[in-house]
Order: sequence, then structure tokens, then C-alpha cells
Amino acid sequence: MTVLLDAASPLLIAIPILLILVIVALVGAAIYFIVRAIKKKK
Amino acid sequence: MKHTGLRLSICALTHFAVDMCCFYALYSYVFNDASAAMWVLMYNALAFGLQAPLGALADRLDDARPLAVLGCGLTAIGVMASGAILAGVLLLGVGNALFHVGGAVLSLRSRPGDARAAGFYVAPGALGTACGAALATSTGTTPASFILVMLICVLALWAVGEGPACGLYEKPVPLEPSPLGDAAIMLCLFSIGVRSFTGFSIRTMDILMAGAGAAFLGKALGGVFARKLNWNILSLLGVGVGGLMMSFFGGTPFVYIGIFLFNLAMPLTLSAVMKSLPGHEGFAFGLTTLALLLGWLPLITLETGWCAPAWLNAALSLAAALILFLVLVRKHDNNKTQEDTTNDSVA
Repeated sequence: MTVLLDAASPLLIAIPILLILVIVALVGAAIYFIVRAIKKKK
Repeated sequence: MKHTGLRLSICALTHFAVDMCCFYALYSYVFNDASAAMWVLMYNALAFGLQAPLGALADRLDDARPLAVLGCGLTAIGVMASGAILAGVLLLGVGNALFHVGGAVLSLRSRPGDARAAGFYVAPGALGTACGAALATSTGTTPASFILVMLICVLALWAVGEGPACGLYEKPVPLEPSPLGDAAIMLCLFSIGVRSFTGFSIRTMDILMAGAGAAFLGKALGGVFARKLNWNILSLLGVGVGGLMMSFFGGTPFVYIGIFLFNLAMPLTLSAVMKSLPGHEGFAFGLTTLALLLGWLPLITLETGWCAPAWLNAALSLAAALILFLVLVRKHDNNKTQEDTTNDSVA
């Protein structure tokens, strides 16, 4: 576990966390659509 | 399907060796660099994130040995690349991903629902990472010895022959759960992500081998217990109780019992996802590692050594345990073959 940004203010801490969560959500959504497509094809 | 047991054993041993080489290299020349955080992110993104697309590629091949062997080769070159960190991290990350997927397809494709085989394949990785880290800090080991180990693994992988072709399956094992629907697969992947987040944000006693040993035993025995206990009950007990122990006994010896219990569910979730995407076992394997990466990702923005509050880890663990309890159910008896069913009806 390591740190990429040494943020001083709460806002600067929140921005990367939110960004990461958005990325996680987007990748999750992509996985869902791919899995659904595979299941439908069967 | 010849040599399935031998092939699984060789893949499991090579898994140990590949992870050992990767962590030896990472601890030797990556972690002490000023940009270590970025290298770790790059390595994990490659090693865990690439497995889904590479798995989709492996699903199109009847013989996955070239992928596994190429992975070993890249890893071996990566061990020697101490002079060029970027090249080393790229080689190690891609090599690791290639071997993991290639080895999984070689050894698990014909029995995607067999949690015992899945646990046997995956478990040695935990020991490999710990051994690699320990060897990097000890004197007397040279990169040449790791190259030799990789060479032996490559020869063994090739000698054991190509694995079963895509679409050939063995008889289901006892207590296999029913295939999951798309939403259930997502919930299963969510629980894997939660396990990853919790696993990396607990407070341990920093005894490297104890943590690795507990994870190894949990993963290996989870698959064995899955032959005797219903998967949803095993997951509920393992992730629920293990998660609570890890959350509230962080920094004490009990945390290692928690890690053991927590890892019991790992082969179950892997097998459940692989079984649910027939014909796409490699891709399914990659999805589980992608979920591990996504679960770990939020932690990179936080302070080094940050530990999640006990209530957060406990709540997440209980949610993951409940999800697995509801998802990993057996709707019909998978043990019954067509012949058994016919005999039953005649009787």
C-alpha cells in the first residue's frame, strides 16, 4: 500500500479518491455489460 | 484428459516460482526507488488488469502453453532488468499476467467448478510472494538462480503436454453451486473486491511468513472443505467470521486466524465465476483478478500504511459474506449424471 499524492487539504485528498471511485465504477459497468453480452450469446 | 493432476501440480509449482521471481525483483530494485508508488501501481495494473483480455485470448487457443511459457520467460528477463526499472516492471507485470492466465486455462479449464483444483493452483502464489520478498533481503541469492528455476518450470510445463481443448469438461464435483446469472457474477466480483480492500487495509503484526502461510492454507483448504460443506455456508463463515477477526483483532496473533478464514472463500468465488461463463474460463479468471485490482485501487490515494477503521472493514466483510451466502447456492444436485438420474427413475 503506497501513496501517490501527498495531499495537504481535505479537498485534495477527496479528489483522487473520487476519481478512483469513478474509475472503479466505470470499469465495473464495463464488466457488467461484457458479462451480460456473453450470457445472452449462450 | 491425460495428466490432469500432474499438469495442475506443475502449474501450481510454477505459480509459486513466478510470484517468487516477481517479488524478488520488486523487492530487489523497485521498492527502494524514489518512484516506488508509481511502479507498484503500474505493476499491479499490468499483472492484475491484463488478465481479463489475455484470458479472452487464451479462451481462443486449444493449447495455452505458449502463453504460460512466454509469461515465465518475460518474468525471467524481468528479474535481470535491475538496470532499467521501467522495462523491468513492464516485463514482470506482463509476464505475471501471461503465466497466471495461461496456467489457469491449462489446469482449470476442463473443471471450472472444481474449487479444490482452483485453490490448489492459486494458493502457492501467496507463499511465492513471501519467499521472493524474504530472499530479496537475504544474502547469497543471485538472479541467475531464479532464471534457472524459471527454465525448469518452462521445461516441465512443456513436457506435461497441452491441456484439454476448450469446451471439454470433466464430471462436476460434489456440492458445486449452480451457474450464476450476470447480476450474481457482478455481486461475486464485488465480494472479491471487498476482500481485496479489506485484506490490504488491516493491521497485521508484520510477520511476512505468518500472513502468507495463513493465506496459503486458507486458499488451499477452502477448496478441500468445499467438497464437504455447502459453499454458501462456508463463505458466510469464512468471510464473515474471518472478516470480523481481522477487523477487531488487528495487530494481534488472532489476525492470522482471520486471514486463514477469510481466504477460505477465495477458491469458491473463483470457481463460481469460471463455471458461470462456460467457454470463457480464461476471461472469467481474469475478471476475478480485475476485481482484486479494483478493490485495491482506492488504497493508492491514501496514506502509506493506512488501516481502515474496524467498523468499515467489519461492515464490508459482513456485506461480502452475506452476498456470497445468497449467491453461491445449489439449485439442483450437480452430482447426478444422466446415468444416475435414469437409474433413480428406474428404481
